[in-house]
Amino acid sequence: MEYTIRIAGEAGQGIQTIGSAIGRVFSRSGFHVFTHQDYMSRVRGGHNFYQIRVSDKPVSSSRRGVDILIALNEEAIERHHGSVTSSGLVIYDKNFIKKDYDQPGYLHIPFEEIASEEGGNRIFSNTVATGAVLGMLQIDLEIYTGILREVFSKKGNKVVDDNIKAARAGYEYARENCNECSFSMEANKNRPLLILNGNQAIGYGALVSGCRFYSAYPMTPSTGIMVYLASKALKHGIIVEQAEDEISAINMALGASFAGVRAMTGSSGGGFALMVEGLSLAGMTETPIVIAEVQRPGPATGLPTRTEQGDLLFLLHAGHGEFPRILFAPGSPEQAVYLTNRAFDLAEKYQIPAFVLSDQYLADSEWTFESLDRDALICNDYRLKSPGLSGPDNYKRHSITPTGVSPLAVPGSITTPVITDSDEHDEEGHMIEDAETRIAMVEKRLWRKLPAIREELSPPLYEGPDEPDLLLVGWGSTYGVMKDTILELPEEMRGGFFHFSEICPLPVSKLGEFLETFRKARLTIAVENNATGQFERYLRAELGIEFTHHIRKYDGRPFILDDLVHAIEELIKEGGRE
Amino acid sequence: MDYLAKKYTRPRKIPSTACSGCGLGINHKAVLQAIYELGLEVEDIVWGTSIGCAGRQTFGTWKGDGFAGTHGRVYAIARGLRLALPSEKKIILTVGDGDAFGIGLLHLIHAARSNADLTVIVNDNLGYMSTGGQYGWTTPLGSKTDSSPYGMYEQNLMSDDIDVLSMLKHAGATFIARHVSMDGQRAVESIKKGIRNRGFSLIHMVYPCPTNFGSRELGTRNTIKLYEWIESRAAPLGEEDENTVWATGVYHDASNSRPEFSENIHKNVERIRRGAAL
Ligand code: SF4
Repeated sequence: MEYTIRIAGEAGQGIQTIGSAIGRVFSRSGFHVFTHQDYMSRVRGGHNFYQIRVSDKPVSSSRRGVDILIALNEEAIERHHGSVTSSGLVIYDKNFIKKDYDQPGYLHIPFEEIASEEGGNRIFSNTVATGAVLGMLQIDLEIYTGILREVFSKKGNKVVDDNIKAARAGYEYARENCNECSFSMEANKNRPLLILNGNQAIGYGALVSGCRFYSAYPMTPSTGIMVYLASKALKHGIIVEQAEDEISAINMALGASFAGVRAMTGSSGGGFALMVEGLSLAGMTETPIVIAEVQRPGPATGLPTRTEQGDLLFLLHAGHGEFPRILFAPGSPEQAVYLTNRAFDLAEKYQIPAFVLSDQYLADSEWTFESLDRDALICNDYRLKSPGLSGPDNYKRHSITPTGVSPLAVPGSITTPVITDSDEHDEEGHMIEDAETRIAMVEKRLWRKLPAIREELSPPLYEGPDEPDLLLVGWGSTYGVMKDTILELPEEMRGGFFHFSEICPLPVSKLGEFLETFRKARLTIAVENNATGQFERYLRAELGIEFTHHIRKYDGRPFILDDLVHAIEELIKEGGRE
Repeated sequence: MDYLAKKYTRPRKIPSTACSGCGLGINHKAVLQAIYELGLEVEDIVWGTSIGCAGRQTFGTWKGDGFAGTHGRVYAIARGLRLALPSEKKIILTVGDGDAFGIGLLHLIHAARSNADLTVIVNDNLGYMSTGGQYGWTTPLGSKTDSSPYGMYEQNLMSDDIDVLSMLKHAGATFIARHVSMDGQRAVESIKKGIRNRGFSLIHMVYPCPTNFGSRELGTRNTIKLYEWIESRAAPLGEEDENTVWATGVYHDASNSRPEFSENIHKNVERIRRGAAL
């Protein structure tokens, strides 16, 4: 059993309200859900949709074919009726759209009328629509009424009751009038699943890692991280500071980190461009910092609400001078939680910057997952505390050690001063110019740390048959669509995929399996949401490997399951190796 | 917008892409009205902006020359433009509060310091509204926004006795005014003075954003409520009472009193080239 539901209309019509409510009902009922959003860079008007794929098996991408289209305006019908499957249905309110589609496959539901009659106000139309969808799918209303209670309890009992009445009326109407409805969803015995989007997952990962300071500047599509963390101030006491720009955001985070607080900043590409100077400062002063970069298509302002994987090489090379960095690119919200956690751990352990690289697609997609493995979360404190200091009198912030990692004390925690400098410095942290100290410091900061950091990272994840004939390789947010694509390809193709989420520094010594599988596969395809194949180039530079093919997409939209399957089939038709 | 729209804007772009009830259209119209009353034509003006609600709707509709820069940098871009353009061309920038008073403040202050001939209209929707509604640098204390779910408590550029307009005055701006959308012809007159000043002019114009500010702070997108909320907190300079947040009118008029940025540079370059003493 699996269905795809698309809610389409204008911004400001409540598409998100309906979509996220339906997604929550499914996940709490134990179904697997994948949602994705497509919206224009406008607050009002423009054409937007919210798509929910629900299944009794895990799902991790979107399909083209739609089973239920909730059309909130005429344009929604015009644009999307072609995507509705032969057994699918369009539901709409003819009084509102002012057009009647009296034909098979269309169901008029008077959302506004029901809302006014039953709820007492037409603002409850969205609740009616949600109730109607649940009615069509025959899903028990109880969970939804529970959600309505949570959402509206602040507005008083009457609002809650009116909403519930409206939901019930929509539900009943759909049950009675939907003659063509052949949907059914077996009540799932599974326990409720967690549902998170990519931005929330990064925020959550930060919270459970002990992050207590987040500074950022609003920038789509990264703002969700700041908003999520700001809402946690009450429960977790985290301080969220909205900076005057991104230069300030990263420098504030560095200041907090120098003082011993776990700190993070986040932005999208354009904002991160402003942070580059601060990144280099983190490199020189060996100050731990975690940076989330949620990509959107550039250059410059680009397409603010759309998606791309166009900043990989920028991040790998950003910052003047040479210093180590870590770059993680999670493929799902679940991975984002754990990788953000590891980013905090490794940033502090090695006193370096660590990136969590996401994009609009991942940021706004919701996934369900069973539960979080709290034991898998790492929470080490690497800071030096006074009792642990053998000789606080000769503490040197940048002392040269065999591992390159100096003991990490923070100002005020010990009796000796803690000093650092953006100039090249000696072990104490004071500015120098002599060649000998310079060499010693570069060796300490870069060459001694790097091998150990490399060993910390994990090899890519593989799914598929042993010795695949066709091999997809991707990174970051393409994980889900590659996973579903492999399942969709005919078995005789023997398709498998590698997904890299731990990208820099590449754990070369652990890549044996990858390299061997890669060598043996007949077709090797690099899948990327960018124009120039940045990851493909990175692998070529680091490992000297050549792909036989690539599939690249740079229209600002994510890969959809059917499209990727189709693109692969086309490649095969064109015939094997180029 | 009728005749103004026909004369100055791209027909394809009307009606607006702003939310219904958004006050930006009123500010936009005041700017066009000022341009009209000064007898300026489309070719007399280069229109600039950066990003956000304010730019999308105003710059995006202008029929003539224009540019949209990156967030906060438009004041620097415009100074380069000022140097290169003939002095009779007017440069009008319609920007947002986050752009001018946040990320772009340093550039804005230097544009004022150098008295570059620009007319900057800061359309203030009281925060970052195109990213969903976060507080900004003129958001009234206590306001609930996405990034201040417990009420905004930070000192900003319009709290205590701080006023961004006096900062700009001391930085060297030669014309400064403040209005709210509902000011009608009074705002138009200020914009006209701003455009006429051969130097740096800034008009701060607060406008209602029902979608993101209204819905969070007032708990409603009801346009009338928000208009009333703003209007009850605005009063002409000299008529303020204890509720006044936005005193409206001309704050500072030293029009044409200081050398203009590009004129000053051109004059000095000329002098040096003529071999005058350095
Ligand atoms: S979000 Fe606010 S400021 Fe922006 S267009 Fe809508 S109402 Fe206007």
